[in-house]
Amino acid sequence: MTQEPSTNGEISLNHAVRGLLASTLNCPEETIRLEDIETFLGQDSGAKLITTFRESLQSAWTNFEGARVSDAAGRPDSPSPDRSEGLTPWVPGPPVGEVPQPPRPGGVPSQPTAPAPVARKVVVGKPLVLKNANAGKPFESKVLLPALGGAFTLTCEGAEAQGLSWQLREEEGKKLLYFSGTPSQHGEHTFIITLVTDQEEIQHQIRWVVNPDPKSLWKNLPSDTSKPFWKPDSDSKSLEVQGRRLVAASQRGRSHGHEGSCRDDDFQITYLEDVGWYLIAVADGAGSSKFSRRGAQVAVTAALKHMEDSVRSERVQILADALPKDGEDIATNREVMTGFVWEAVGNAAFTAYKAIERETESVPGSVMKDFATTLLLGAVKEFPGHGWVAMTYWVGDGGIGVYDAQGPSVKILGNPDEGEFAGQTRFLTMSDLWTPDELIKRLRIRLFPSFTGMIWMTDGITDPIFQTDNNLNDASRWSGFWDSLEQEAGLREPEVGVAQEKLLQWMDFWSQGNHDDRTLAVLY
Amino acid sequence: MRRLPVYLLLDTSGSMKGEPIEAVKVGLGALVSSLRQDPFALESVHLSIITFDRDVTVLVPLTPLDMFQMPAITTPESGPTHLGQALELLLQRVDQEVLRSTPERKGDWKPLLFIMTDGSPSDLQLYRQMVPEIKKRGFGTVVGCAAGAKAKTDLLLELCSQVVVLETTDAAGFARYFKWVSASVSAGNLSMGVQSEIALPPPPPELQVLV
Repeated sequence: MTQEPSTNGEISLNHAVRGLLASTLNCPEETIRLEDIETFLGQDSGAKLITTFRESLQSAWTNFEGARVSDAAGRPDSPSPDRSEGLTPWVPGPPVGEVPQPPRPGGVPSQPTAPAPVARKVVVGKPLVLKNANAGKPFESKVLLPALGGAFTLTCEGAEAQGLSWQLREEEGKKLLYFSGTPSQHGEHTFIITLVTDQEEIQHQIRWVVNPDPKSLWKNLPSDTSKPFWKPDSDSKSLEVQGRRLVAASQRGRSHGHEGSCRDDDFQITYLEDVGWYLIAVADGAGSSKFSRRGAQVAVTAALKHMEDSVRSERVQILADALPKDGEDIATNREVMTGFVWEAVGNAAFTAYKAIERETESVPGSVMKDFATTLLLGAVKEFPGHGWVAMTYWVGDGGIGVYDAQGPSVKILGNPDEGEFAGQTRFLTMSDLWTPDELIKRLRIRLFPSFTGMIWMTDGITDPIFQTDNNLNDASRWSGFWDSLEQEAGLREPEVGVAQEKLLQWMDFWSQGNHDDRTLAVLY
Repeated sequence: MRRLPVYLLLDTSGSMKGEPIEAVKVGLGALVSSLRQDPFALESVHLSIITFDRDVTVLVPLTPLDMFQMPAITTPESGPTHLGQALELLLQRVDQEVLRSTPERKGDWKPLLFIMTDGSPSDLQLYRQMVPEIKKRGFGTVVGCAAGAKAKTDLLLELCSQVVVLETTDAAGFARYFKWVSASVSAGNLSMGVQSEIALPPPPPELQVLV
């Protein structure tokens, strides 16, 4: 015989059944009709026939497949293979002995004398679902196993290789397979769960996803220096005047590093010794604008230059006389105050706007939108006997805050421009900003008797540190922020140059989902 | 933390039965695998799948990418294509799931919508009613994929800022389409604000682009 054993078994079983029926019904095999069988089975002797029928079937099966099926009605089992935990799946061997002849009608084949090796039916069960994991993070989860009638043993292939240990537990009548461990390899891994009963081996597949650690995926490609308006990926500057410091740093964010594109943020700071003014300009170029790195650069440069010229002008020099005397409300001099901030800082922003307009003329085919940028300006001077005057302008996101550790208290000098969705803000380049009403809204002039720190920052800092507008106005948040600046960003370093370096290094901190360029200027 | 919600609307009508829907499944698997390799996507993308045939089903509600598991996708033997109803359901989901900025909470990035269909909406009137509503929701982009010979692009163009055409509904076609979807989602990384819509990366040459 050249056919596979299983086919032999099928053919021979057919013979066995038909032979048995023919002898029982006392008619030739070929004439057996379904009605005859049904009639017969309806009788008492039918039930007996069923039992005999099954026994014969079982024997026939055993003879041809070497399989042994235990009778649920209670025939004792022959000695079974070891069923301890950790059993590896049994692989069927070759058929036992020679292939016997089909049983003759009227006879019940004899039982095989030697116990045959176990060959259970292999069944593919439905795939099971296990929660995703993250590489390098501890993982713990469970899978509900499909209910099985009787006893079974379980093996699980593939889990240990991925750093997981597993345990079968029973809870409230349900069988659960618990997994725990810390996976290291990201990817899609396959486990095979095999449930072994007396009759079957049921295999279930689990496709398990391990996400890579995002930190490992971020690339840091240097920016292409041949690009127009290229600028270094980071920048920093510091100065110190009689113990007071102005330090600034700007760092390209991870998302630009991943693409190898330029830093879009920019800043400029200076101290004018002759007139005693500290000047600050910070800008964040819009990510979707192709020349925004240039827009930010032009804006801070032009704005700072204008502020330099205007604080040296006579008009602003007489600011001191306009300051409130002791007990006097700053509001009595509101008009004068407004005039100063308008001239010194408001016009500086407008000058920056015009400078970008000129830039579009020198780059053929470009428009204002291509250079879109936010802008945060500051002009600060100490007036002995009064305190510190701070004049600011703010368009876009990020923030300007004056923090006093006493209290603690914080004054935010404006409102961040925000839309319904993240990433929506307003830019210096928008033409509707340049009406008197719009301009006034963005200007502040304020007198502070004392302060701990004044900070200008882009959203690369405010998003991870404050997240929301409410938090930005929360003094206790600022207190924590200030502490970390002092301890981790080196503000209290004895050497201001070292403080500058440390501030830049601190800016590389990791914050999930916050990978924008970061710029911060602090006066303290 | 800012999330990037991405909604996929998939046509599971009878005409997609067999090879086309199998190709979609493979393409989807590739999209998800590819996004898992992008650090920005892994941290921010939240994915939702809505299928439409005779019925409209939220197969997967907005789920963080790292927790996302591929659902079973089935098609009925035949029946209408209720894209209008799908848009209606989508609006409900968006209003429920997408977070807008408040003083207390940072909002999501503008959600992205990718629609794939191989025919035209059976509920045309409802579809047309939904179009302006979708436009009001502030999606970063609405992209349509007209798959196969019977797909009607003009109807999709009423809604989508960009429509790509797949000549055939086979594995290669869907692979290209989903690869481009992946690149588009990654492009959502760039902060927006200047334009109301994100700039999509150029589609591969094999994908014919309308508009």
